[in-house]
Order: sequence, then C-alpha cells, then structure tokens
Amino acid sequence: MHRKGLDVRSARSSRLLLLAVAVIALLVAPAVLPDYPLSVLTEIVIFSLFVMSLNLLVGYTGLPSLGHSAFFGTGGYAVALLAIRAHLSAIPALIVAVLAGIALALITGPFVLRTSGAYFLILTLSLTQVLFGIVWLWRGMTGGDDGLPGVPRPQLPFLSGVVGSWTNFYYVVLLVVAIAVATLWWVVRSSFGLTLVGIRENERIVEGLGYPTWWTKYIVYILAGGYGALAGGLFAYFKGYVGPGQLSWLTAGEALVMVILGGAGTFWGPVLGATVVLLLRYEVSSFTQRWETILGLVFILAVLFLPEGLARVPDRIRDIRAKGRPAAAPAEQPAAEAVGSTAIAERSEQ
Amino acid sequence: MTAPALQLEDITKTIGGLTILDGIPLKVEPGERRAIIGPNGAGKTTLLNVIAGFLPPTRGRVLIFGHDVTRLPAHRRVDVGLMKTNQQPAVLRELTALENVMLALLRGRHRFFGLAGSVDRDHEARRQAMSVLEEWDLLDVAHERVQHLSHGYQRRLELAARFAMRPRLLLLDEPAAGLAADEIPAFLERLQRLPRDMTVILVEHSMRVVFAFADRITVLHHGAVLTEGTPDEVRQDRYAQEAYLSGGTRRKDA
Amino acid sequence: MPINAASVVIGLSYASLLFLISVGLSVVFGLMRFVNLATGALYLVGGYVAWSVANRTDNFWLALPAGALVALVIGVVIERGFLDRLLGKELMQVSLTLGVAYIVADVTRWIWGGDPLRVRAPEALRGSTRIFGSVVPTYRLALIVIGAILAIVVWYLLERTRWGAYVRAGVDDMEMLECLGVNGRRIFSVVFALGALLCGLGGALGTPVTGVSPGIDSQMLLMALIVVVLGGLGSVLGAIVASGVVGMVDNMVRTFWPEASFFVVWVLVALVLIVRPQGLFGRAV
Repeated sequence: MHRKGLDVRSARSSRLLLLAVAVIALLVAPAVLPDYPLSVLTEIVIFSLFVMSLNLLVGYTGLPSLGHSAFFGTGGYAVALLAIRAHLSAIPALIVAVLAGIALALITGPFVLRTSGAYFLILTLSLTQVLFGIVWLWRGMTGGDDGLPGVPRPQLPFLSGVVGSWTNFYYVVLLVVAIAVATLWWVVRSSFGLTLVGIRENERIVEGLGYPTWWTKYIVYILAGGYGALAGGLFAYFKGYVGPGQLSWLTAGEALVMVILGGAGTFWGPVLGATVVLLLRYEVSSFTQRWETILGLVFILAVLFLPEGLARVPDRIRDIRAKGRPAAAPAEQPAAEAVGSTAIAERSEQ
Repeated sequence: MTAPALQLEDITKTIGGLTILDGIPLKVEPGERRAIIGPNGAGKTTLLNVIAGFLPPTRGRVLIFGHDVTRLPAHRRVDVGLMKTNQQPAVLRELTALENVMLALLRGRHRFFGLAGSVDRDHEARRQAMSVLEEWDLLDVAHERVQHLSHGYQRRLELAARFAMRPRLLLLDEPAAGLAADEIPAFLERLQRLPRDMTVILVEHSMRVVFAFADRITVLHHGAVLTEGTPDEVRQDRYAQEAYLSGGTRRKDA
Repeated sequence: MPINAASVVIGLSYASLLFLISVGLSVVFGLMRFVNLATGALYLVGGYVAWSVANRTDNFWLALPAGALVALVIGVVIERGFLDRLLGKELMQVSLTLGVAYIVADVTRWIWGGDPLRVRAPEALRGSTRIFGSVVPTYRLALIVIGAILAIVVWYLLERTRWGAYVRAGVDDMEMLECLGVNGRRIFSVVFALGALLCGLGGALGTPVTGVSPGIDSQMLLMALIVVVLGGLGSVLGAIVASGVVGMVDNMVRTFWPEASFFVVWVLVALVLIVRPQGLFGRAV
C-alpha cells in the first residue's frame, strides 16, 4: 500500500518539522517575551507535564481519574516542605517529590484499581478529598488553608547573572519537563505502551494474550503519579507557594478537560489542551469578568464538536480528504473469504 | 505415556445458586480435534472460560499437558501453551492488523513489563509479525485499523495472532459465528490446515463444521456431559439426537 | 452533652437537604452510569431563583417551585441536548457537566453578586419550638418533615409503582428493560428530570438554612457525592440512609471540631469504599 506509506511518511516528517520549530520557539521565547507572558508560558509547560501524566492514565489506559490533583498536590507540598524547612535544593527536592507521588500511588493503587469507569472516577475523587482534608487540618505541617508560602525559585547556576531570574527559572522548568517528556515518550512507544492501548479497549483480550493486566495498570498508575507529582513540585516552585488548592477536585477536573480538549490518548494532545485552557483563562479574564462562562462554554463545545480532541484534527482532515479519493478502503478481498452479505460488513463497521 | 493436552476433573461452576457446570470430566489427547456442542445455555462458553482461567471453578481441577493450572491466572496460561478465541473476534479494533499480531508476539519479550523495549525498533518482532500476516493472507491490510476490516478478516486476524504464539492447545469459541453459508467451506479448509501437533478444542453451533473437523465430539446439556464419542457415534446417539441434533435448536446443515 | 434533641434536629434537617440533592445523582448514575457534575449547580440555581422570587413576592411557598422549576429546565436541556452523545463516555460527561457547572456558577455570580444571600423562613415556620427538652428553629423541624415526606414519596414511586419497578430493573440491567419492551431511554429522561427538580427544590428549601452564595455548588456537589458513594450508587434507600448518617456525623463533628467535619466525612467514605466499594446498599461493583 504505497500510497498509505507515503502518507504516513509525509505526516511524520511534517510532525517532526513542527516539533523542531516548537523546540526552537521554546528555547528563544525568553528573548522575545516580556516577564508576564513568559510566566504564563512557564505555567503552560508545567501544566503540560501534569496533563500528560493524567493522559497516560486516562487517554492511554482508559482509567478516568478525577483525583489526579492528589499527586499534583503531593509533589507541591513535598517540594515546599523540603525547600522551606530543610533548605533542600531543587534536584533532591524534586526527586523526593516524585518518590512521594510514587509512594502515594503504591498505597492507593490496589484500592482504586478495583474499579473502572465511573466508579473509578468517583473513588479517585474520594481519595483525593481525604488527602485534601488531611492537608487542611494538619496546620502544623501544611499550614492548613493558608498553605506554605516562601518557596524559593530554583535557578540554573551557569545561567545566573546571564539572564534574569524568571528566565532562568523558565529554563529550569523547560529542562526538567523536557527530560520527563522524553522518558514519557519512551514509555508510550514501548511494548508496555502498546499494552496500555489494548487494555483501554478490551482488557480481557490483552489478558488472553498472556499479559498481566492488573500489574500493568498498577504500574501505569504509579508512573502517572510520579510524573504528576513532578509537575506539582515544579508548580510549587513556580508559584513560590503551595496550598490546598493544588489538591482541589477542580484542579483535577480541569486537567481532565484539558486531556479531552487536547485529545485523549494522543501524545501531544495534553500540551494543546493545557495551552488552550490556560491561555483562555489568562487572555479572556483580561477583558471580561465572565471568563469562567467562556471556559465552561469551551468545555461544552469541545464535547460537542471536537470529542476526539484538537490533536486529532489533522488526522480527521486527512480522512475526509482520503474519502474523496477512489479505492481508499481495504484492498479487494479474495472471493473465498469475501464478505458474504452486506449485513455482516455493516455489523463489523460499527 | 504423554499427559493429555487437557484434562478436567469434576469441573463444577455455580453462580448465585445456579449450577452452570456440573462435575464435568473431560480428557483431550494431544493433537486431537475435539468439538463441544450443545444447546444454548448448556454451559459451553462457561466451560471454555474456566479452562482459559477467566472463571475460577467452584470445584474441580484443570490440567493442561499435565500441569495443574486450576489456580493459575488467565494471563499465565499462555505459558503452558493455551490460547483462546472469542465469539466476537478477539481483536483490538483501534490497532492495526500488524499491531495486533505484534502485541501477541511481544508478550514476554521485553523486560520490566515491556518498558525496556520499543515497538518501532524491534525489527525482529516486526519481521515475524509480517510473516505471520503473510501466512494468513493479511499482508495487504497490515496497516489498516481493524475496525475497518470485515468480519471475515477480523476472524482471520484473531486466529493469526494466536497462531503466531504457536499454542499447543487452541480453544475456539464459535469461530464460524457470523459467517455466511458460502464462507463456511473456505473457513473449514483454513481450520483443517492447522497443524496436527496443535490440539484444538472447538465450541460450535455449525454442525457442518463440527462433523467435518472433529475427531471426537462431546455433547453438553444442562452443564453436564450428555454423551461423547466419534462423530458417527454421536450422530447415532439417541439422547444427543433428542436433546440437540434433530428437533433441536439448529438445522443440521447450519 | 453533644447528642441532644437540638443536634439531632439540625443533623436531620441537613440530611433532608442532602437527600434531595443526592437522590437524583444516585439513581441517574445507577441507571446510566452517568456522572452529573452539574448537580451542585442545580442546587445553587434553585437557591438563587428562590431568593429572587421570595424577595419580590414575599411568598416563600411560591419561591420553592420557582427554584425547582428553573433547575428542572436546565436539567431537561442537558438531558435532551447532550445526553445521548455522552452515554458510556465518562470523560465527555465530566467535561460537559463541569462546563455547565462553570457557566451556571459564573452567571449566577454575575446576576446575584458574590455576597451570601439568605431567605427568611415563611411566617408560619419562623421562630423556635420546644422539643424533647431543647429549643430548635421551627423551620429545621419543618425541613425534616418535608424531607421525610419527599423521601417516602420517592421511595413509594420506586418501590411500589410499576414505573419504579422499571427504574429498578434498569439500574440492575439496562438491557433487560429493552427485552421487556420498555423504553429505557425515556425512563432515564424522566428520572433525570426528577433528579434535577429535587436538586433545585433542595436549593430553594436550603436558603433559610445554609443561605445561597458562590461556592455552595461545589460544596453541595461534594456532599452529594459523599452521600451517593456511601449509600450505594443507584439505591434510593442508600441515599436516604446515607444522608441521615452524613447529616448526623457532620453535625456531631462540627460541635467538637468544626474544621474537621469535612475530613471526617471523607474518611468515612474512603473507609467504606475500601471495605465495600459498592457502598452500603449498592450493587456489587
């Protein structure tokens, strides 16, 4: 199927080009953007990681979590506590944050994974609420609803003095997220990643092929927790502060919508979703107080018109164009195995 | 004396007070082709699911090639050479045909639950998958998403993917379901081409397939074995006739 | 002595409100596995509309159906307009109902402002009553009575009518309904609408007690989820019992340790979920 091959290859090379352009743009952004837009960009990068971690669970594996802010908050509080109380520098603090997220996932996984679908949604929400409550009450440790202010922003030593502190921090975030995303790419392209997509569709089939699906789900839950906590730690550095809001169900809910908006189960979808929602929030709020209504409308419109997400739009366009061409469907089938009746073909089409 | 490919001892399954399988004995020799038939509700699919490990039996033992697998989880039974198909082709519709076969082949190949290996870079697995597809005449749809393929193709892909793992014991759950009458001969031919060192247990409603393919037939009724024997023996068995074959739910040449 | 008649009355009156907001959520989930995150928004809108009507007309009894009706309308719009697309797709449900919740929360803030609003209880129910040695606000007692009546009505509808039997069968197994020749989808529409109505009614009834202000939607949604999860998704009896339990526990904890009520209730939920994921009366998960 040469035509198909060419299509795939040209799509891939245009995607690589796009990626290269994006990377360059990200690298030179501080030179072009003043401080405020740069901080918005920083937040977008951090949230992209957070939403990517959720996408691993929701988009790739099909486990809809409404409690992912638990890891976001855990990472944030870990970083804040270590930075403020133990004066730990960023790298060890972030590592501990990731470990904290992994630990939380290790503990909650066996309970949460007993369910799926809407039950999973509600159970993950419940556990996050418990964590929220603990954080709220344990004033001595977490500062209660005041949170923990005064988290110092990490800087890249070799850039200090060369660039401003905001820019420096931006590069810290970019570096950490780039490494994380690279590992995430590996995970998704590994045979483990293929298993996830299979499980999302039909766990039993994958089990029948000999895969230990419960363990697979547990591991992906742990991975999602770790990456989510890393994003949370970065966010605490970004805000210079951590509060119970980082654990709120609204944060979890918005992240879920970002996954959908961007395209659940696509690699770069989460970046699009995070970008759109955050830009909407910042841009729209600057000229109207009713930005939440607009955000709500976007959520609804996304469901109505773009349920596959933004990242899949190019594929859809390509499909529509392909339908225009003749003989785009599977090749002629040998007579013996031909579909006997149209009824069977229709049945398999849905 | 080699162990039977499959041996069931007193397999019983009750769900909520209802006895679906009642003390079923079964012995299938290596290389044998066994058909399990019976009216709807006789427990055939439940039996296959118990053998495959998706349902734990309430009582009894399952032995595959001499290994007691009763306690073994479903995903581990591949290790003793077991593979099963479903009534609806057990293929992943969102993946391509190639990816379906690769998923089967990649099992156990990469360490750390598959994290250690990349799907794109495993050229060896890819080569193997392509040759499996070629063997089963699926090469031209290798990169098609399964949801776009016809039922016949999906069924072939399902068999191809399982076959790729060279199972020693293959369980087929109504593989002819959904095929039109004129597709059956080609399907039957494909079945008969399965190597003789592979033991096949087939649950089927199509008597045409059953009588042409099976060495021995086990007739189930109300969760128990009604009768068992060669196709001729079963055809002449009065009980089987009453319960199932003639006046029963299906036409003989269905 | 923390457990006296007054605290029981307060706890149970809160339970009435909880029941109203959660019964719809529970049955709708049980029937169609549909997670309605706009539940809190419906409560909110019921409260605000009731406040406006009560303010204009000075008639509390007119305000109640007004609030309930507006919530009903929004519920019907969601159900008619979007539901079919969302069945079986939890992510879409979250996105859509969250979107509705955001819009309602923002629009109400725009119309009614950010300050908490309170409605005075109707003339007949103002003041306090002496009961079992304690003095309690009369309205609270009335809430318990109203809640109990509505609970009995809903229970009766579901347990003693043929329509209710269909709903219960549908919660058990939607396909069974189709086999019986019953239009499951239409039953679901009615249930969804009823649920929305009760939410709005709850919001309206709650205005003399909890008042209405931005943020109540979020708060009540979480409470509704607690009740539904604890009681068992899909079970009306579960909603009744769990509202009672949560209402009482919440009130009791508040008297000792006010900030902890939230935490204690969620721990209760988490424990129940760990031990019994289907809740007290729910179907096995």
